[in-house]
Amino acid sequence: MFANRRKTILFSNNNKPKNLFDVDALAFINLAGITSSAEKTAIDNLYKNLKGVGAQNTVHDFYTNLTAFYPFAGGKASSFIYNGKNPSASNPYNLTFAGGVTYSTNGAKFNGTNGFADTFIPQNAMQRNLNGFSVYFIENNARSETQFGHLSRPSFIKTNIGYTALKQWNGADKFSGGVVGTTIYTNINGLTRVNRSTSPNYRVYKNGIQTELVTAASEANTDTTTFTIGSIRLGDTNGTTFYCDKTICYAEISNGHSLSAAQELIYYNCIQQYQTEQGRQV
Amino acid sequence: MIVYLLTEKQKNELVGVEFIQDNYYNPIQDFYDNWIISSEEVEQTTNKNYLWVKDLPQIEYKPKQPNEK
Repeated sequence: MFANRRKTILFSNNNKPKNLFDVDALAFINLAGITSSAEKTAIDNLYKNLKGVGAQNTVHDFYTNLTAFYPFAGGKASSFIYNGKNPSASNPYNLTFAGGVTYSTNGAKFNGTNGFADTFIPQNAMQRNLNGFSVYFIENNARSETQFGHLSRPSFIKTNIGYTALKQWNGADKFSGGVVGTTIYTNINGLTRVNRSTSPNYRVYKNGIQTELVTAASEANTDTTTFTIGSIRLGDTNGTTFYCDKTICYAEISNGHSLSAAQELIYYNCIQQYQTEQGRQV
Repeated sequence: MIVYLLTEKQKNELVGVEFIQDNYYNPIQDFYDNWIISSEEVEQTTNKNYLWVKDLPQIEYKPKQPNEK
């Protein structure tokens, strides 16, 4: 009898399930203090899409393979800090912001002078030949900056998404010039994703489409300093530099997992729907 | 761009301090090795113990040349 009552609660009169929130989406919404119904819907759809049960993705479980993702919803630092993967106040990859950052429903606007966010994800935890990471931002102004990255020195093992004027690319994990690799991009905004699926291939995707294939051997790295968003971490000093001035709406890192070309496009569609539902899409 | 000039002592006071919840001051050195914080940090400061940052002298910001090597 009790079971039947429960069924009545969960199912509507026409026997179709109610539109229930994804359990992790709900945990994130509560943790981040999201109150806007539009943002709640966008977050719920993001989780459902990442898990392969949404409108953009009915097949692939991206969620399980994410190490950390940052939805940047809620319009304030205390909402933006949370890792969307297994959301909790004690998640080791929750962000800490430092320096000049302003917050809005569009995302975290870094000031290009001293603002950044620490992910607490150490470089030496990254698998050498199987990983990926991405960042989504709004503005289209190219400048010498890093949106997401780490640089070990003096070994100069560089893992980043960003634009630098140095145009150096001397080997493994050394991405600079243009956005990554050697291409100078006209349109830099939207979703940029770098993926390492098989050695020696690094692939760059802009808004779901592969734009570069860079080949290089990877290098072992024992650097324990951590990736930052909005700047690049310098491993030898634990400082940061090449601060970006972009409004970042999403960032993600997947350690030990990669995506096929077809999956990259589906993944982009998931993220793009999330941004569109909040009116901040590129 | 205008930034706010700190003494070494003031810089040390701000390290590890939140100017709003979950956002810490990040004093950096400019081209001349002056310690500075940004206008965003000053404008968002509401902690009454650190309102003195709003009275800091303003200077034009000249960044250090970033160096990856």
